[in-house]
Formats: sequence, C-alpha cells, structure tokens
Amino acid sequence: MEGPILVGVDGSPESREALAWAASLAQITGATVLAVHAVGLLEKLGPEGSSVPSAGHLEEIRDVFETTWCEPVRLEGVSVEMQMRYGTPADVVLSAAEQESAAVVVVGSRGTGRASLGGLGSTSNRLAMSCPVPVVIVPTPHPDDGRSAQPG
Amino acid sequence: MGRADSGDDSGVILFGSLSGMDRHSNWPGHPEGPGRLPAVEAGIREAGLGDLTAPLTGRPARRDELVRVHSEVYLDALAALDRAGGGELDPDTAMSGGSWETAVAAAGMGLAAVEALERGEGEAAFLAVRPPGHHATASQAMGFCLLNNVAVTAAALVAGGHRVLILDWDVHHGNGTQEIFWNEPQVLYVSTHQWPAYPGTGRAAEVGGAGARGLTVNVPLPPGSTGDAARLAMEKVVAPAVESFVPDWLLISAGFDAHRQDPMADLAWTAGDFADLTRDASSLLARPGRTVAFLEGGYDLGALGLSSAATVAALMGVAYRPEAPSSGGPGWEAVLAAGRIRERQLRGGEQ
Repeated sequence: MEGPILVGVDGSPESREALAWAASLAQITGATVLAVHAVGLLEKLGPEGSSVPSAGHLEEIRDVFETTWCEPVRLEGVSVEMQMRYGTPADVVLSAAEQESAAVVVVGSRGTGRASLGGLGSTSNRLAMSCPVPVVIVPTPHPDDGRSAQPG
Repeated sequence: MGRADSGDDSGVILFGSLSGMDRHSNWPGHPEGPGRLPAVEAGIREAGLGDLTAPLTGRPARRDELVRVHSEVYLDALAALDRAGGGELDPDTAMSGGSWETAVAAAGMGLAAVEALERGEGEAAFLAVRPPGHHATASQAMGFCLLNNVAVTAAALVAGGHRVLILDWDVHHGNGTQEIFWNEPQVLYVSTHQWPAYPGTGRAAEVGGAGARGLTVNVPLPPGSTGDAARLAMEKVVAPAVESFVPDWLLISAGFDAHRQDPMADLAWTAGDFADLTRDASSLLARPGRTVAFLEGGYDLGALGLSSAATVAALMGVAYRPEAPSSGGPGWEAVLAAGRIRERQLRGGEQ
C-alpha cells in the first residue's frame, strides 16, 4: 500500500472506532496511520464534553489527541503520525488526503457534529462525494452487538 | 469611561438591531449567544451615542435575494432543520427552532440598510445582527454562521450595477465571503485576520479567481499583533487595491474578536483601533452615505460593547476612543510580506 492510511479523529466514539479500524488495516499492510484532527473555533474539552474556545487550548487539544486518542493504537505497535489542521473536518481531511497522498481515508459514520442534514454525518457525506482516494466509512457498532468492525 | 462628544457636524447613523426578535441559539453556554446584541446596544447607549442614531427597521431577505448567494438545496435544508426544532450542523454551529427566521432577518437587515441609505435617510448604517455570516459558504454552515449576511447585501448591490468593497476585520478569515465572490469582478474582498487560525484559509497568495484576479486581498497577522499593523495594512496593501478598484459601496464585516480581551483568538487590538480602522476605511470611499457595517464575531461582551460604540462613533465622525489605539506588537513584517507575496502572485504564477 502506497501512502498513509488517513483517519479523521475528533474524539467521538465513532472516530475512535475508525482509528481502531485503520490500525487493524495498518497491521495487515504495514502502512503508517496518519491521524488528522480538525481544529475548529470550539473544542469539546470542558466538563462532560462542554465546549471551550480552541484558541488558548491548543496544547490541551494536542495532549488529548496524542495521549487519549492515539496512544492506545501506538501501544498495539502501529506507527501513528498526528496532524492538527484548522478548518472544518471535511475540508481538513480532504486537503490532508491530497497533500499527504493518502492511500485511503477512514472516518467514522459521524463525529462530534451530529448528523442533522442527512442520514450520514455531513463530513462522511462530503468525503464520499469529493475525496480523490477511496473512503472507508466505519459503521458505529450497535450497543448490543459488542463487536467492532474489522478490515478483512 | 468617557462619553462621546458629538460636536455639531456628526452625521445620522442608522442603527439596526435584531435583539427584539432574536430567537437563534446554538446551545446553552455557546459563545455566540443571544447576549451579544444587548451588549452592543448597551455599549452604544453608555457611550452617549444612542440619541444620535436613527433606528433602522429591517425586513426579511426574500428567497430571490438569498439564492444570489446560497444554493436552493442548502436554504431548504436549513429551513427544514428549523422546522424540526434545530440541531448541530458542525462541531461549532447549531440551529434552534427560530434560527431560520432570525438568520433571514439578519440577511435582510443589510438590504433594508441599503434601501434606507439610498433614500438619503442616513450617512451610514451599523447592524447588530446574528448569527454572523462571513464563514457561511454557498452551501455550508460553519463557524457559527448560517447565511452570509454581508454577501447577500453585496450580491444585491452587484445586481444593481454597483462596485462593492467588503472590508472584513473579523479576527478569523471570511472564507465564505471570499469563496462566494472569488470570480466576481464587481466585488473587492479585503480581509485582515490572525494567522494561523480557523478556518485555515486567507493566505496572502489568495488573490482571486480568473474572473477577478487581484480582487481578493488577504493580510494575515501573527498572534499578538496590535492595531498599528492593521493600520499599516490599510495604508500599504488595502488602499492601493481600493484606489484602482473605485468602489461606490463599502460593506464592513465588523467582527470585534481581534480585541485583546476576546477569548476566541490572540490579537491585541483595542476599541480605539476599531475607531481608527473605521475612519480609515470610510476615507477610501469617494462618496459618503454608502457604508454599512455588519456585526460578525466578538465574544467578550464588554469589549464588544466598547468596540461597537467606537465604530458607530467613527461612522458619525465623532471622536470616541474608550481605549487608546494599540501599538508595539508584532505584525509589521507580516503586513509588508503580505504585500510582496500579493504582488508576486499578481505578476506571475497561476494559482
């Protein structure tokens, strides 16, 4: 596989599922995982996920991104690179996929911005329509199922 | 804190506010909340400017006025979400029941201001409206914005044969406005903004599309930058572009989140800087009575009140600087570099 496996990560359960799926694919292919986080105006870092301005909290965001979201995947022996970029999640993933020559893009079925304008989250919807490389939209596991999606 | 000295030759400024009908809410505790418009009104009142403004009665924007800027599908989706009681649109932006009506009124307030100024009812207008607009693209809500208020007014003016200067001094780049007018030869879009910052657009090399090359002007400023850098940008980068464009309307995307107290960014401007920028911008227009300022960002309510009042006073030609203009921060090099990058881009390569 040429190019990294690019994953959009925002801390939501769905995006963590996407990161785990990408890590499984990386273990099969030997590719690097490139985890990308879109920095918006607000970040859900406060008590019980309340929003704080991203400005002035960039180091906290970076710390959570690295330790809480990405470290579990690294501990499985997967090579993970991280990027924080300003913009909407869809714009950030699209530009990163192009600039980093990603082999494939992996996202959760929806992120912290809830899907209000359609069945899928607006990010995965836009990526499915506009991304120049294959896009994998990892389904959210059913709470009663207990299984995670796996490549293969 | 001082009050404004009106003197005898201050012009009539139209003041439009949606605070009486503001039904838009993102979610509880969101910084772009319904307390912002009363804060603007309080700032103007406490500066002693309230009696010097004339109230502007707004009207909703019509569908045919909105579709000059936004797609039909997008407008239908927003209206439908409003009818459903609202919901989140992106990690920063949401609608409540009532958001659609408020957003359409915000977009229409600019149109009403133009109509009133054309009737000769005032020298300029200041509009306390929300939700803000400059991040909204033709088909995407983002960055607290639903409808692009300033773009709706600019598009109406263009349809009437006018040449429009949009000056956007919000601390965040107005990606939506830039994108909407990227190829429009009748609009000059100028933005000063913090860099790097959300939404990641607004490099100096972004100078406009093939149909409007040179009609986008971006001046990215580093964190900590003070008002003197913005004034330098007006003199060295903005004024030459305006001089060759010759606009007959000035629309200001007046965000006040570049203020040093604002929690959403890291510039270090003061209310006095907004007064000076307003004065400098107004001087770019050959004919008075054709300036409309739209509230965009600004999330520290005290700073928002002071900065709005300073801007309104400057539109009146009244000296009111509740805080001295700022200087001494970084940014001069960035401004001069932006000018060089822009010139190089216009001389040479494709984008």
